[in-house]
Amino acid sequence: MRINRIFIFVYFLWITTLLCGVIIYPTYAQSNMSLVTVYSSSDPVYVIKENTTIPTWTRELNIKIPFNISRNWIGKSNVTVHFEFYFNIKSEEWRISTVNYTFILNGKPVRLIREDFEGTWLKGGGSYPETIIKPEMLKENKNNLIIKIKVLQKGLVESKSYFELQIKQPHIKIKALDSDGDGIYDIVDPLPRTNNNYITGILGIIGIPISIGVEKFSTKTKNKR
Amino acid sequence: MKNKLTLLLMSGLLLLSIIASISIISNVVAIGEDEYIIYETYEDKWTLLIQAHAPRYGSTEGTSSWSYRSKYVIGPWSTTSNVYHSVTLMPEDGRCVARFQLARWVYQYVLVGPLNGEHYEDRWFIDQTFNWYKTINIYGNSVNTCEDDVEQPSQSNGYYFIKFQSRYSSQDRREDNDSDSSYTITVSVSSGSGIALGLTVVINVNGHQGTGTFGLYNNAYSTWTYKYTFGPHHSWFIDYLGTTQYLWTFKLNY
Repeated sequence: MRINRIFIFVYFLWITTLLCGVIIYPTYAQSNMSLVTVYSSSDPVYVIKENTTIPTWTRELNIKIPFNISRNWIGKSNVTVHFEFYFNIKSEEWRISTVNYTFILNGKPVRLIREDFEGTWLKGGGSYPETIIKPEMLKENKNNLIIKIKVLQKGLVESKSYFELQIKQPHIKIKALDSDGDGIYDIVDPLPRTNNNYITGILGIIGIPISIGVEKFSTKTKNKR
Repeated sequence: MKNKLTLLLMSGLLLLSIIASISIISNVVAIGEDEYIIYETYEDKWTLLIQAHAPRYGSTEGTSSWSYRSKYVIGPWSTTSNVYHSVTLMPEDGRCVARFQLARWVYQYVLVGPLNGEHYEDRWFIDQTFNWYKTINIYGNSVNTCEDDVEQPSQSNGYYFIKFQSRYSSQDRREDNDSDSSYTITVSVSSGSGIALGLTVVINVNGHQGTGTFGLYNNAYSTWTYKYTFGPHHSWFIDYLGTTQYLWTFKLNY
């Protein structure tokens, strides 16, 4: 009867420690923190507008988005850049408008997107696939992202031309990662690359022979006495 | 003691089965056919993402949460490539617009076997996409009709366009607006499997030509609608472009 009690006690201790360390504490810790942080630019909408007859012209615009990220979050979160754009281009003669978007993080280029508009009447809107910032490019605490937009329109002759490009809601999203898909985010996960549920199951099973071993050891010690 | 040994044995078996399951899921155990690439070549091409046509004296607008999947199924072996994007086009007054992305198309001549019998396959697929987009007017000599729409624009920036359908060819529908005001017809594409286009496309990679289909899918959870607006005192012949009834091309009647 005493033998069974030792087994049950050891196994209970094993499972409780396992559950607390791998599941309960991390779940509690993440319930008290924000898992998504958004940093927006100072203005919600930026506009490049030109109403001209000049065949060739250029315009530039810089959108600054400063943001903070703590050391613990670098590499354990997904940092992405987002914005929507809307374009309305009307010209009497065929023109080519080139828009270059350069994403510069802490003085270093991260991504370049080129957009060409060719024709006389183009209108639409949407967004680009998200720009993911690599963890090695991030600095602890203060970071600065600049979206540099350069427009160059070329036509062959002088003609009426209207160009409008709107950049809407530029922002950075920092989202906590769950690399192993176990519902426990990496920032609080003691095993960020291993599924905690599987590990709990495996270690839970391993606990049985360990508990039996402890029980046997206890029995031997008792018999020697 | 016997019970404990049985328990220990069961625990061991359970552990082994868990490890085996994880191994299979992780593709540690690979099951499949052997493939040998005999010949391979690639070419960067302007690849169609989406197109839209507006009636003369009217407009077209695609509205959704802007999430699309352009699916290419090319060649007799139906090699499939997907490109995800999120831009909608809103042409007006007879203008037609198409949007492209520069993509690397690969042609492969492959020996496949032996499970399904040894055979050779021609494959055309997108290997990678670039951050370079192009939105262009594709209407021809007149904004009154899409009959002369440019199906294969010449090369641009040193890269060729893929060949795709965009012309008006025959009447599927007619709209007569004899009233004094505009009216709008809305067609809806549901999310998921809802295909908005089924165009014939031709991919030529350094002389290796493959024919297939281009499908445009609504990748968002919400319904995607095409709104066609027709101005007053005019009439139009309409051709459903591709195999679905969502994308329309126009010819002005009066």
